Amino acid sequence: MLGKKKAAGAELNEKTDIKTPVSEMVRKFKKQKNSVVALVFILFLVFLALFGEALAPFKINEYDYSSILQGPSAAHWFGTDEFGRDLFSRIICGTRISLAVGLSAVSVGAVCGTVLGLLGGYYRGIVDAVIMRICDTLFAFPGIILAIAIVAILGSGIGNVVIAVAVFSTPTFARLVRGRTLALKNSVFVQAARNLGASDARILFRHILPGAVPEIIVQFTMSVGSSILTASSLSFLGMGAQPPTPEWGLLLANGRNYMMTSMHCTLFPGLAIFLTVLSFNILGDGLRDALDPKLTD
Amino acid sequence: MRKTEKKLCALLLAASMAALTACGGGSGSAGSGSSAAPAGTAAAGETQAPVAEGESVSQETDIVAAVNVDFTTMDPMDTSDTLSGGIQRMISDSLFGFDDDMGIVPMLATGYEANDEATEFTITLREGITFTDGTPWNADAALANFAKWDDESLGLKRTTFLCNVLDTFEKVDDYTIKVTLTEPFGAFISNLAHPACVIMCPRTIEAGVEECARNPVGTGQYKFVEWIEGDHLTLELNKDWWGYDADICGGTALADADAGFKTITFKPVPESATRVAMIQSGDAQIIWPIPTESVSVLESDPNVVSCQGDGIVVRYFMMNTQKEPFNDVRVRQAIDYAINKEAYIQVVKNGLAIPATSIIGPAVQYYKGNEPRPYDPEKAKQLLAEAGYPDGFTTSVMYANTTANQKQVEFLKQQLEQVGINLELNGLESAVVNQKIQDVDVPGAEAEVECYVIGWSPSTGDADWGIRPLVAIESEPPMSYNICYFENQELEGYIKTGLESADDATRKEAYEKAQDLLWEETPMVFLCVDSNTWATGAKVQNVKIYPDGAINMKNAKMAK
Repeated sequence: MLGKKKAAGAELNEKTDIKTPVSEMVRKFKKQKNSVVALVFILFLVFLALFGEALAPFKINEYDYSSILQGPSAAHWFGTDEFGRDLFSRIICGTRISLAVGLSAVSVGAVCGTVLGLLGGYYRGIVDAVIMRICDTLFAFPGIILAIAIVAILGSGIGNVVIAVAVFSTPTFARLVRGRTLALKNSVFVQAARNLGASDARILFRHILPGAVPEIIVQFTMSVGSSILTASSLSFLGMGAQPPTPEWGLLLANGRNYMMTSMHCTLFPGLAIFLTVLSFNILGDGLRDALDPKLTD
Repeated sequence: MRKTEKKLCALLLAASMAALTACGGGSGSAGSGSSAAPAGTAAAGETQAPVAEGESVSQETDIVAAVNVDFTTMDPMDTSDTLSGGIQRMISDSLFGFDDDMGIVPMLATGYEANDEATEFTITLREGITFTDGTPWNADAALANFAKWDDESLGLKRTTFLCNVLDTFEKVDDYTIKVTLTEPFGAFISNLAHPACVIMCPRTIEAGVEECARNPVGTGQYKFVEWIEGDHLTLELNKDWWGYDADICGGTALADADAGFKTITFKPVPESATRVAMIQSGDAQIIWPIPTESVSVLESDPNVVSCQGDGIVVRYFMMNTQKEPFNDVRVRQAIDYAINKEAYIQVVKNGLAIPATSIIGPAVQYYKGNEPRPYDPEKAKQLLAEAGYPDGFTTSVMYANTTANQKQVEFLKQQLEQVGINLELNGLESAVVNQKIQDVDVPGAEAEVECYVIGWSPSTGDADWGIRPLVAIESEPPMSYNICYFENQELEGYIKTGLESADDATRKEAYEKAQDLLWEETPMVFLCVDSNTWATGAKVQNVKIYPDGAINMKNAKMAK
């Protein structure tokens, strides 16, 4: 019922409005200054991730035992760590790791979750029951506990963190996409496609999936933020990236020993994590406002 | 009507949810609160003590000591960590003990006589002592302990410590025993002073090893109260300790009975920064070790006294000499040249250590220093090239991932990178490390371990226990800590000579030769000798750390 209404509403909008959905989204998105700033910051991070190593004033593991734990200065903008390594360079180089872990883990989770959600929502019955009960089980664990359990089984290391985060972000996507699939399954255009003899795969991926894309995009953006946070937490706990990798959570864990004397060792990695996660969340919020057909300006 | 019903429903729902969350939160905090309560309240009471008056308060005082790892067992013969050994030394006395500088003094014994071959020892026991459960200390009690030490079937970690040399032990009279050894053993009395040989109550021994591990009873200055694994271990001051009685001690009492506190609670706090925070906030009155990076912070805190003492803990970078490339002595020496020990001490130990000049520390008997190899990466590269590794190689180091170890191996990685060696860091849970390193019974060439970092302190104060467990063939895992899988017949000879002689000059010569040989062969890189660091609250006095890293609270006092 609800799905039909929504679909009808969307159709109506399209008729009266000559603008494409994308330009409409851009227009709505631009209105949200916070999200635009967040987007710019994230683009900046992506830039750092791609070219950071070349831009960093020092090499990642370039140590200098004569300048250990020095505060921020002209030479070392963020100060130095316990081996005299330049924290600024390490944080810049760490951007790549954090973004890569966040994006790859959520991508895997999104793809798996979407496929599972589509299958469950479209075929219902035993397939749906099995998929959704597994998802419910995974949902029952707090994300970080689940991730810790998975890493404990697989062993520590950044690759296993990606797997762990992917596993725990899968059910969110599965449930989301299943909901949309249920709604769209009985809509007129899907029925029409079916009557025209389209295969199940075609219906799922050409007709139903596009209807779920806005939600997936929003969820994706939000999940990247929380995944970066989880990955950093795992590294902080010693279960993720291994030293001397300049992963942010690891930098934070290292710095914690010197918190009393050299606050910069925790402050800057902490800020990096904080700003990145915040940006992804704000961006996700903005995208939702721009993509959600229920919200009008 | 329906609207109001809905509203009511919503209200009810909200109320029940609030109640649920309140319950959840309540039970959670109550749970954690109750476990922390005894220590927490005691600590709070203690910090406010100077304001409050009356001595009855201080008599009930609990001291909290935060330590870096959990205890492993309370059975001395099954203990391989200094921390547990230190606690056992507080609960039980040994026949012979150490003074503050690790000189040997009689405790439950008053003296001994040995024959020239060091095979027969007649030990006289101190009279007038009872265990804390009331059992009297006499020759029978002593023999019960010897019987346990000699019983190989118990499968305890330290069993090889004595069982191979003990032959017969018999009662001469109620306070005299005679021990015969299978072979001459010069370090016998030193070994009796090792914490593994503290005397347990015969009743506990009779009750079995499980009881020994969980509920130790001794004659000591402190009584065992309880040990909740992973949370805390509590000891209570034994007011009736014989050491307080000048008559039994033969003149002067060993300590003053008025300690000003009643119990000590030891809490394992692996997180270095947390231990520091605990002593600064008054949640703990003793912490050790102090993370070296926090020494300066604590020194500037007026409520904390931070202390340092010479240690005998030597840090090693062990290499599996049965495996390539470490089977080539040139490679091992190259690694020694490649590691800058001065920088190691400055960066990793914050200056709180001295360079190692032998496999044992300077405070250990028969120590002989050697000239450390200078830091010389060029020479290292040259040696590597000679050994057939001009471009270096990749190897891995296994270690328990404590904060301190992490920093240590990262430093080593940086150093070895300079000569082209890629050291992969394989940090694991300490239990997993033990499993992978200790619980393996295969030849060295098949063992998983390539490199390992370890610290070792011979708690006998004698060269034998500083050398044999680390490099003798008999000590290869799972028996002991020869993780280098070092096998050298010449060294075996020196170790044997040292063990079998009671003659000082012979032993000295043997151990000096052994140290020279080890320095040349470099089965492990000798990194440094740790200084001991500990901190106490300003009102806790006379807490010391023995050179081997165990706590010494014999004269500890709590100021009122």
